[in-house]
Amino acid sequence: MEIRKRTSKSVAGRHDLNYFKKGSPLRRWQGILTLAALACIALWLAGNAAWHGPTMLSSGPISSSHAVFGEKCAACHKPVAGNLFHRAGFRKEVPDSACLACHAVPAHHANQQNPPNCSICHVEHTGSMMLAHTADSHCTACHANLRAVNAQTQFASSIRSFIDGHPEFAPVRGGFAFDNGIRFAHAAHMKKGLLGPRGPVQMACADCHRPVADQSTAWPYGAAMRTAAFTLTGGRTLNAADVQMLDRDRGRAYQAPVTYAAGCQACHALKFDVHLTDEAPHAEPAEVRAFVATKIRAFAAKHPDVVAAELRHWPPEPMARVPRARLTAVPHNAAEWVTVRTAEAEQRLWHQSCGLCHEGQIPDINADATVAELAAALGNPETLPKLAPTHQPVRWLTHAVFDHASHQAVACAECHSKAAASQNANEVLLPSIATCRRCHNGESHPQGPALGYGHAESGCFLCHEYHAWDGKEPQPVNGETLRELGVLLPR
Amino acid sequence: MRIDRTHRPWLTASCLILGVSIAIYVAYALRAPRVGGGTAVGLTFGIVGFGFMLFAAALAVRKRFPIWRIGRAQTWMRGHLWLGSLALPLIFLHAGFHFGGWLTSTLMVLLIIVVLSGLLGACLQHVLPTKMMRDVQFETIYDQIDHIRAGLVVEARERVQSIAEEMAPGRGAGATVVLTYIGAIPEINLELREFTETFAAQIEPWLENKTRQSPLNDRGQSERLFEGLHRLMPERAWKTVDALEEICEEKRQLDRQIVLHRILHGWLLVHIPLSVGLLVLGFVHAVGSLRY
Repeated sequence: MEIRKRTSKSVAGRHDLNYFKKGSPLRRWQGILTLAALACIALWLAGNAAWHGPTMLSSGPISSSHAVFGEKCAACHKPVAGNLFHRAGFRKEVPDSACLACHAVPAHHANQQNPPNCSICHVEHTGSMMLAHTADSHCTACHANLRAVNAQTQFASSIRSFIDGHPEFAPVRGGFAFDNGIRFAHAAHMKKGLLGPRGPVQMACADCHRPVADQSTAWPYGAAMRTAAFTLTGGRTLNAADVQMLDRDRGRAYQAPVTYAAGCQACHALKFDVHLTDEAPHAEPAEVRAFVATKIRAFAAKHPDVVAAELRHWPPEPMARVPRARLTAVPHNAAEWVTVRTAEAEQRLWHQSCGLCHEGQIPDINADATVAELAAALGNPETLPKLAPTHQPVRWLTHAVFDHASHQAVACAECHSKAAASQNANEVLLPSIATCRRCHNGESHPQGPALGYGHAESGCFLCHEYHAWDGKEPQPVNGETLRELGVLLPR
Repeated sequence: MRIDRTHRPWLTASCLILGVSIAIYVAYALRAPRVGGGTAVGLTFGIVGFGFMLFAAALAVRKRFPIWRIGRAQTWMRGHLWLGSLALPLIFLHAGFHFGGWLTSTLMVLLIIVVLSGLLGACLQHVLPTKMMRDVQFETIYDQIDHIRAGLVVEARERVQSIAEEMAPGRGAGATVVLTYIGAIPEINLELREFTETFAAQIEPWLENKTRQSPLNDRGQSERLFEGLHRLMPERAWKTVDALEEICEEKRQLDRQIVLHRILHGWLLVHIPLSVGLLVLGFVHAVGSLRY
């Protein structure tokens, strides 16, 4: 348009030459807001310092296990003696002594070089729930190159992860010899139509293999499993490491050892005489011999009429399924009756019941022996069977831990695939490492993020414990620790 | 500042730094038992990232002392833009992509806001000056706008008061006599009255910023209003009407300049205060981390 004349002079003349003295409103607001921001920060810092102390400086939330310490940073962060920097209050790290005040744990290996501080592996302030779930790299720092630590390695010298360099499990590795000491065939027990105490049954793995916590649950072969029978035959007891393992995960991690009383007795009762309902104890032969003799002697004393009747009509009807136990000696009085019946009962037990499962030397008695010879044999310890000791490991992989409860969504046969067809108790029916790797296939995020679909956690921590407990009980720590730290509320 | 070819070296250097940092981080994250600000690599990322933040903040000092011979202002501005932007990914690498506790989370949020607001500002600085040059031919110094708008009101009043003179049939001898009596001519009097009423009712309040809602805010409606005045007034008065329309156009453009200027610089109201807060809290975090 240019109706109005606009020259440089006229345009310049319109301006207020003192405008800069007034200041820009935008700059003014910038200054005001900056001061406001500084004031807010100062208030926030002061408020936090007053109410929460130094927790504001925390790099992240502490784990739930240590939540009891709350805002008491000094419970773990201790001043360390050192240079001026340290003396000025900087680098208040967490010394191992702070951890060991509550957690008395054993070391890793005696020959471990430069063991790391607790806080190197157990990283706090990440909000993680499980501080024991550490990254593989802590382990592979040494185990990926064990030759650097020890020139002689037993199994593998470079274990980089579960899927890379980890050796096959020892029991399923070639050259592993195992003698169970008993005769047993899983295949025979998994057949259809087996006769149980209440009729035909189809046995399942869990009929015999149960964790400690499930021993008293329903059982198709009797009122309940005999849970008290976990003391092993012959008074043997489990070692501390095994007991510790059986107690893991509230008694659900490991299968309890299969004992005669808990798993076999319901079908394989140790009956020894038709006149008696008693079962012989599953014990050492000498104990069994004494039990049987006592019971038959007691019966004869209590039922002389039955004894007299049998003496008149000797021999009585043979017991079914005991062909080898028939002796030719003829008793003429109650004492001889007891001797012959006891000898028969022993032969029945030794050959039919004990010999069914146990390997060893079971001496045959002379079927034509006289009563006196039978009495002499019963009194001779040399005529007792010499049974081979049994070896049933509670834990096969003694350098690792396992949790059956965590795997309960997987059918037994998925891992123990050879079990149902096994004919020999000396077969090791553990899965190989390849079976585990079907799910535990290499991904490991101990503290998140979530693993990809089809991957189970594969971290070292899942099976291996860094601290070498080896059956050691956790050592008692000072019970006053929390009180000394000022964590406990006053009574 | 326009982001043009002159930024290419900065872009290349920034991509290089970022690429190397990511490569180092990936190698370290795959091998290290844990990642985080407390590790050697994490601490290095933190120091470099905080250094970039301090450099970006130094622009304010550089601007306050423009006569210092410490590099061209444009170089400082480019460094502010690119290194300041790099601070965000470096701090992410420092923290191992975790936000951590209260202080570190606050710092991370502040950093994200500061960097994003800075990037928004860079985009606005790239786009809006061109738009302003195109849309606002009457552009002036922002802080002078109120003063000039007041001048426009005065100029418009003078134009309106001179309309009677413009409507005089001629100049020279006798014109004064005509002017004296022109108000007595009923038709002319009516036109003048309607013109001055329109000015007083619509144009003047709008020029004085007393009314926000006005057809004069829109160039199309404004043109229709002044077309009506052209039809109302005799041709001799059109020069004044056109001048008045131009005054309105200038005022409209100055209003537009205010809006564009506020957009162009308004993000600084977020960017600067939060940047200061970020630096202060960053210092607290650094000292606190050294303590524990």
